[in-house]
Amino acid sequence: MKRIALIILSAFMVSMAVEATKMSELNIVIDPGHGGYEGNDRGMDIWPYCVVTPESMWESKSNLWKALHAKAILDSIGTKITLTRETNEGYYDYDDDDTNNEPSLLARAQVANKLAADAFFSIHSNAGENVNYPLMIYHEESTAGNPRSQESVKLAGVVNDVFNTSKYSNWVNYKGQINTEAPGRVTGDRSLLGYSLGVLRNCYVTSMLSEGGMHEHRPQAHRLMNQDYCWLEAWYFVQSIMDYFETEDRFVTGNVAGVIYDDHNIRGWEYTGKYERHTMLGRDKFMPLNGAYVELLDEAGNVVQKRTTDKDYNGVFVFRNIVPGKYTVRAVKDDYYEKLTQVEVVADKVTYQDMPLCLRRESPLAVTSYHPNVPEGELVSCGDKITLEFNYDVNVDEFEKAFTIEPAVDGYFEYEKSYHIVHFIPTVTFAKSTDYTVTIAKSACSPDTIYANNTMAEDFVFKFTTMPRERLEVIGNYPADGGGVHYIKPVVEFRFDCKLSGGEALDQIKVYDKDNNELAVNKRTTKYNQLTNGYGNLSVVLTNDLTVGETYRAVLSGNLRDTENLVLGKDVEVTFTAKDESIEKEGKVLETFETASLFAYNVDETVGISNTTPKYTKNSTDKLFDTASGKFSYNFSSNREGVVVWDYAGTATDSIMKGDVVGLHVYGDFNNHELYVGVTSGTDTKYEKVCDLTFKGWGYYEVTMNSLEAGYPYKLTDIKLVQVTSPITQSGAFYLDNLMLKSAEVGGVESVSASEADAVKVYPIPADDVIYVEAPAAINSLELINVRGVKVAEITGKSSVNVENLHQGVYLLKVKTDDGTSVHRVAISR
Amino acid sequence: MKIKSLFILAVLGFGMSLSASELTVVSTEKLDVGGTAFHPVLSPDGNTLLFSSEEHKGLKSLNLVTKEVSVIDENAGAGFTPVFSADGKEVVYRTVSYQGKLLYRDVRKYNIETSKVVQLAKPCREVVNTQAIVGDTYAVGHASRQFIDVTIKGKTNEVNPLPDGHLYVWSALSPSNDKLLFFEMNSGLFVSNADGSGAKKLDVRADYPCWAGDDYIVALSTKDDGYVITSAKIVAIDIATGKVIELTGDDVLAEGVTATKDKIAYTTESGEMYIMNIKVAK
Repeated sequence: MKRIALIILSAFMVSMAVEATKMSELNIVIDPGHGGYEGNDRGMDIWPYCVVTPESMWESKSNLWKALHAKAILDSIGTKITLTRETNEGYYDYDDDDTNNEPSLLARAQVANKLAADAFFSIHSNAGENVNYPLMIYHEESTAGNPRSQESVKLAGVVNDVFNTSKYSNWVNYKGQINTEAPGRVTGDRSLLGYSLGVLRNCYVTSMLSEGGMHEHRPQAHRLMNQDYCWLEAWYFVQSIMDYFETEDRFVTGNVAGVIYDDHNIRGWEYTGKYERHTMLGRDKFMPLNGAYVELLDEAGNVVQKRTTDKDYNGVFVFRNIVPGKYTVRAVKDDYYEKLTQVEVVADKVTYQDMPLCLRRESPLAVTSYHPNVPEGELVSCGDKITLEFNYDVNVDEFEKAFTIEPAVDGYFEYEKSYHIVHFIPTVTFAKSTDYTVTIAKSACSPDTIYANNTMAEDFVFKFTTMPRERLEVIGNYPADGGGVHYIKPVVEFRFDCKLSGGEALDQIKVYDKDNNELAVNKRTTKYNQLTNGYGNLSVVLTNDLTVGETYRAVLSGNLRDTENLVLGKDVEVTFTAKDESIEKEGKVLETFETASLFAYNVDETVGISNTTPKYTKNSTDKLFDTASGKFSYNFSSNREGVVVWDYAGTATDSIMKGDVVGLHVYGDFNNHELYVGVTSGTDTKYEKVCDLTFKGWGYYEVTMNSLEAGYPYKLTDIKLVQVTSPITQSGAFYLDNLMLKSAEVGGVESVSASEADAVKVYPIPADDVIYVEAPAAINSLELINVRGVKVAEITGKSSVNVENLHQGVYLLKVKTDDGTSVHRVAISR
Repeated sequence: MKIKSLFILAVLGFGMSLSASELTVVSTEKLDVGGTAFHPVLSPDGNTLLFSSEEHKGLKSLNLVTKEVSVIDENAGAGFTPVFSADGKEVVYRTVSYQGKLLYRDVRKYNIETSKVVQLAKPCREVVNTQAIVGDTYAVGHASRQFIDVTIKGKTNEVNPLPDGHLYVWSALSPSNDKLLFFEMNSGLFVSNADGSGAKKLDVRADYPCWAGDDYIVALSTKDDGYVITSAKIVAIDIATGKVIELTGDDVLAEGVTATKDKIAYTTESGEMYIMNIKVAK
């Protein structure tokens, strides 16, 4: 400090204007923002401090360091300087912030007002990931764009201009790009934040708040942990004061500032993860060197100043208050080559001189491991990649020239562990059943250009052979190309011969309408890899209903990859039409599936299931009619010969006769198993196949009950699922809604006129022993015909027929009179 | 821990006679002054209320009996810590002006009865003890010096109740002149004997502390996130027990406060001004 004072005094001798302001006249108040390591302070998890501790990066700490350095500089040149706080300990009781001692925002402003400061600075750093620029804020009155004080605006502008000259930080704009010119911003608090800054709103003095950089930008956070860096920011504040007040005093000395870093290895490669998740550009990409020694030598070779970089991964050094002239910066560190650089120090300026050091790699580059490295005869997946690990980081340009693969494969390189590991990744995949030879020519080298033998001692060669499978294959899709999908909660599913690689698969399918608009997908209900035995699927549910009759396209990206990293290779497109499966069907609704416990699985008839027993549940989510459908879920124990039977416990009593048609609304699970409906008459149970579950979503399927015994009334008793031998899935669920019944049409019976039929009376219906007939004309004969068209009884010359010995069921009664013949539907029931 | 230890010692050494009392709010009234109001200052007799703008520009007075508003001064800085004479008839304040970019303040005196302003000193850059101009009993904390001037009937003592104190922002003698409140930036709010002995820390984050009679200190208690004040309420602290009484909710966002033994005036972030009538029962 004494040195500075002397230098400033000498500056007075060449003072410019008689009435210019002297630094010693000024009254400055600086407020180091925040305080106390807790509460509203801003701590950072930063390497190597894995949790926020006082040793870690805290905004309150760097703010205070800057303020203390500014105070020291200003004290040394006679400026009246007051800090609102001078310590950073014990202020804040995090659990009881009513009783903490950290100065309030109003108290900080009160100090500036009470001291009638010529200027008041509240010093901060800003939050903001992947951006890094200075921000100078002045107070605006009740509305944005209405500064309280034009002098405060000027002050903020001057500080911003000075900070813009700093080359210490890589200033990164909001796009994550390096700003090389005028990175900073000047703005009002209401314009920026929408509210007033508490520390400025009560100030009557010229005032501003400085955000010197972004402490959430990790390289900047590391710098803010360095005293030299904070000193230099303080120096810039003092220079800003000189500029704003146009003082006759200027710094007659200059500074040399820089960073010592590895000229090739990447920052944070030893501690990747959350500690280095931020954009790093320019010099910030490289690893700052801790514990490096750097000294400034004058022209006579005398050490003027020296530094050792700290342990906090910033590599920062500043030689402070250097008399203008020519100097040499010398930097050394164990395992690195010494570096000497000439610099010129200019008064009132900062000379930036970074010192990238070259690591000694004083043995040839060598491969320490590689992949694929498999025993002879073992095949490699076509989706694999080539990986090489070296004893040193590699010179990227020379390595890529030295790498060859035969037969040639299009691909690209990725580097890991700061170029110690290299991956060659095929753009698509390796070809199937191919013998490959990889050669790293001995010209590959480390970046140590000082060491003469930095190349490999000899070529490195290895071979591998690929498997016969080279692409991910689609083995099924619903809807089929040209097929239809129920328009409500539409589902599209693809199935593959291998499980998909991961969650990114969800982004590889798009559905478009006829105008090529992409349809929204419900990602919450979209599923993938739900099949068994290594098979994969991708099932997407569209967010909105479709328009019935319109055509849509589902497009599966060719970039989709499986768990072996094999790619689909080309887009798969399926066109389908929206249909309405809920339109009214002919017939009577026999069962609505609106009640719970409608079915129970039949233990005796069910075979081949896992420990998870089949279930029937009422389901209100995936329904077609009314409020619910019936969900039948199953889980087979193997991939073959399973059967699940669910017994009907509902109340439907309508008889189902041979030839009747049963219709079922089915929500398929695309598992291909066979669905049957079971009906029983007495002890006779018949199953008719309704459909194969080769679809996803709702469909309507009818089956004619031809296997029933003619003349016998059957009732609904079962739903049966028969497993189709398939490895792709053993579990699933289908849904049923309204079960329909249509009576059989009778073939071979002559039709009669309506008037004749109306004139003939037949009763009772149903009958249990005798059916009576009344007709306006003489009755010649009565014939009973069952639903198969077989005559089961014939009476002549009588007006009644005994049915005691006939099965229950529906029959046709043919009545022949003198006026003609009529046919009547009758039923026998007991 | 260090602070807590000091606090315990301070309590043990606190030599004043203290008795329990109870402060209650009798009524609260919103004051209509025809615009916004900030930084209130009550006269000792509680009949006059000074106020200003948020940035302390201008100084006005409100006669709490007649509800009449008078403009005292319209200059910058006039509203920053105006001082009443003991009889409440005069107000001394300073206005701000700039010569170049340097800040200067004059000294002015306003007579409540005649409404006349007299400039006592031309603009200067020196610290002026405005309290000394209108009274002989006061405490002046120095924001950049490590002591408080405590003057009682013209006799001044420099007291530094905290060994490591460096910024005494607010200080005031109790009405009976036997107790001293002070706020030190790094340590918080304390009450001590008038000579600075027996300092006792009050466990409340408090701005603009002032006496409401001899038994209570009224203050503004705020929380912030380092940038913006997130809540602010008016509190009263019973100096005998340290008990903190919340006189308003957090959500009023109070921004300034002043008190006498039976009145509290406070303003809000939006410039509303309220007066509370209080009662202290022994």
